[in-house]
Amino acid sequence: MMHTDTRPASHDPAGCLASVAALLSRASDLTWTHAQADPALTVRFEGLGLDLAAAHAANLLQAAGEVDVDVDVDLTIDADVVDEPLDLIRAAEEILRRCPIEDFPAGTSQLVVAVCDLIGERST
Amino acid sequence: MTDVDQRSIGELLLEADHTARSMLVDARDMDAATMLRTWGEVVQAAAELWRALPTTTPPLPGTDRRAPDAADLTMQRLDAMTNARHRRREAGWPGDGPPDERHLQIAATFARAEDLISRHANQPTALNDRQRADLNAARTRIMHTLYVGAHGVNVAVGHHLRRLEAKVAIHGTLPAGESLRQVRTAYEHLAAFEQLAGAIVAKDYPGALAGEHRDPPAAGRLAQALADWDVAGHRALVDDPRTADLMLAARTQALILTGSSALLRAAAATGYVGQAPLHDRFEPAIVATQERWETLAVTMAALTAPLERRTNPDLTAASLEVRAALRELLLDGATTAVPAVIAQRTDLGRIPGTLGQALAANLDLAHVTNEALHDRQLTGAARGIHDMATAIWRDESQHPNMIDDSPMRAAVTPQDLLANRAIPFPNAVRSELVGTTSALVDASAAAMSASAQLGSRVPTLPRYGERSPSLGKAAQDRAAGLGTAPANLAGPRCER
Repeated sequence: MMHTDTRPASHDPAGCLASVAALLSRASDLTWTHAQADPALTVRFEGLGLDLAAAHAANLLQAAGEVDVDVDVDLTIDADVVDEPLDLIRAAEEILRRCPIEDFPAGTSQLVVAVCDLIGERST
Repeated sequence: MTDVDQRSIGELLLEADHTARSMLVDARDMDAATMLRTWGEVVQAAAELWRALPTTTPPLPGTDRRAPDAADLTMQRLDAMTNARHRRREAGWPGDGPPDERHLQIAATFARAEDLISRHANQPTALNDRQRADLNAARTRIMHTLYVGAHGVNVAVGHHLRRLEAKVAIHGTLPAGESLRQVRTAYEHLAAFEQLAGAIVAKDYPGALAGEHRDPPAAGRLAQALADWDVAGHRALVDDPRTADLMLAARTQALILTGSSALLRAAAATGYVGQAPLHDRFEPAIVATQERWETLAVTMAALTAPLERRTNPDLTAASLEVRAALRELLLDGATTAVPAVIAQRTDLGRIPGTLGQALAANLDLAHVTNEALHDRQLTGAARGIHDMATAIWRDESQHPNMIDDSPMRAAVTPQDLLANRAIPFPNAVRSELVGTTSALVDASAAAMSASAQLGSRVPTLPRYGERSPSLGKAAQDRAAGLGTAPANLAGPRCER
């Protein structure tokens, strides 16, 4: 069978979801910090969309297995180096592609769609 | 002679209505705690009776499902609000004690009517005009009884509140078992309840009793989404609140308020709402409330570790729908839609009513949030708590834990800090959070009060040859139907 994707496949769906939850949470925090100085309605739609996606990822993470506290610490530090919410959302979308969808818990398809929608909303 | 209750459903509802009215007459002399203790049973029995009644709206195309109308959504909200308060009943006021016999009588009357419907009434697939009018009359009578009943309890609680305030002013103390905070909370909860029920009876009562009422169209997506959100919010924040749920609730409320402002600006631009009350009173009040919610959300985010941001699934689903419903109306790509476009998407004439209800529910959700933060079971992320406690100490000059702007002791253990574990809130942090939500409650009360000034009006259609903002098709149809269209307006297919 032919493989078109040469990126290393992950066999750690819980780790992927933890990364996605952390990245989306960070993107949310940055967006809401921005909202404090910007009264625009669109910023708030983006912020709440990120909150909902981060909550979805965290809910799926609980379904996928135990949360490793060390993952939390490392990812928070990784996310700190990026200051642009769109880059963080794109990074989350890439991480979701690392695992085959059937390895994730049920409901991950909706998360994939939500993350792609967030990228689309920001790119419009 | 037999003991069997021979009364019809109509007679039972009439009795409940009369009992509620008789209580209103005596409300000033009645014991507020006694009334409040049993009020929840009245609302619960009314909601159960309401659910037993056939729906009045037509089925959705191609399905047997019927969309709820505005009154159905209001009843869902009233039930959720009251349930939330009942389940969350704190120690202290009103405490245990004798029940109010007339409240129990109303609840029993509603229960008897519900029993009659459940056991004997056939569920008709299609209602004829007479059945529909009868049903609307029953629904209106139930809502009216709740409205009158809530006002009666509120009058009694208001008197009690003033008596307590006078005692504090004179003696500086309160009698044992009394709490100004709890009485004020109950008073504002009842005010929100009364406003929600009042919005329905102001529209239907007493017209529906004479069978003159016509069904309003099924509630739009936004009205349904907001009602579902209120129900989910009350349930999630009362049952087992977590900081992640509080954060999501705060952000969703903030978006609802920002969206409300934008919708009302569109309504004002098209003449449905007066510009002066909108800009002078409503907008400042709503901006202040929205900022309070956002500030609370930032704090809750700091107190929630990124991987602990899982939320109650029903709350998440309801928030998603609110966001989608507002987005559909308000955004054009990445920018806010102009009023004329928003007017094409929704009937702006219905917006003040929908948002007035949302603002009443907003006040109650602010109270529920405030009460959730009193919950000793609530925990937060150790790092967030540490940062917050240090900041509080730093703000208090000469705090014993601070020397030269440096903390001399930690609010959390190093182990908890390293693992960022969920730990109970220290008293200083809890007090700060409760202070934040108390300010939120005050701002929400002001916003609800301001929304009452908005009202709604039918804009005057332009005279022939004049240009005016687009009102949207639904609005033009309704305005013409109400006889406000000038006779010389061009008819259909005569756009010139």
